Amino acid sequence: MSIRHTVLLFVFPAAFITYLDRVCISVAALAIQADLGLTPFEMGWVFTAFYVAYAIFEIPASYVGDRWGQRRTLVRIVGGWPVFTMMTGLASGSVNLLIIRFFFGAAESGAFPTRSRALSPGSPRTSEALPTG
Amino acid sequence: MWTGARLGGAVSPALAVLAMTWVGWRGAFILFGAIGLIWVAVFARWYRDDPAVHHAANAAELEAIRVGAALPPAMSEPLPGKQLPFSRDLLLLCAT
Repeated sequence: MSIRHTVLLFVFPAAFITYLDRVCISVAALAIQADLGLTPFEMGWVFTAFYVAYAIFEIPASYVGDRWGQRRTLVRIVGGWPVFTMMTGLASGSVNLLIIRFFFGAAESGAFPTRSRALSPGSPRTSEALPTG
Repeated sequence: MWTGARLGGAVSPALAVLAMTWVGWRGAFILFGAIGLIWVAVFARWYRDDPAVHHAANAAELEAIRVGAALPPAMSEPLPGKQLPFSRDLLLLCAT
């Protein structure tokens, strides 16, 4: 198999896992609220923490991705966010859950821009949109 | 890539429910995290930033990438400004 097709075999599941890890908390929300004794208001802030961090760090993380190269950056990003996914499972209260979700959002930022660039060197300029889709 | 993300969004709730009934919500997060770490281990072994230094690279593919990268943009030549006013095609176009 050619390199540019094998790259897709990596990028596709990585994009899948990115969503798996961020969607999981929506399903687990009720169980988490019950276990940790969180109000819906506190749970709302837990959701917000992820997106706030994601928004803050998306551009800086993409900038670093351009400087470092895709391999080093994706090892950093995909090696980083699952640690916070796992730590979410170890949360014991509203404050540490909030902090963990903030770091999770920060760690996931830059993932899609850097993966787009990982697809680019293997794709002829005439078909750059196709693998991104 | 984005298909993978959308598919992840579509299938993840079902997978999360499945994982939670199996290992609880805490276990589900730990399991999903582990899947990401497995990905990164395989990726780091295989991926190279430059396709030219990749062990699986062959001459034909590198040539296809190089040719694709060097394709000129669609409008490569400047408009022939001096000849344009005297162009019979253009005058005819204006007349009709």
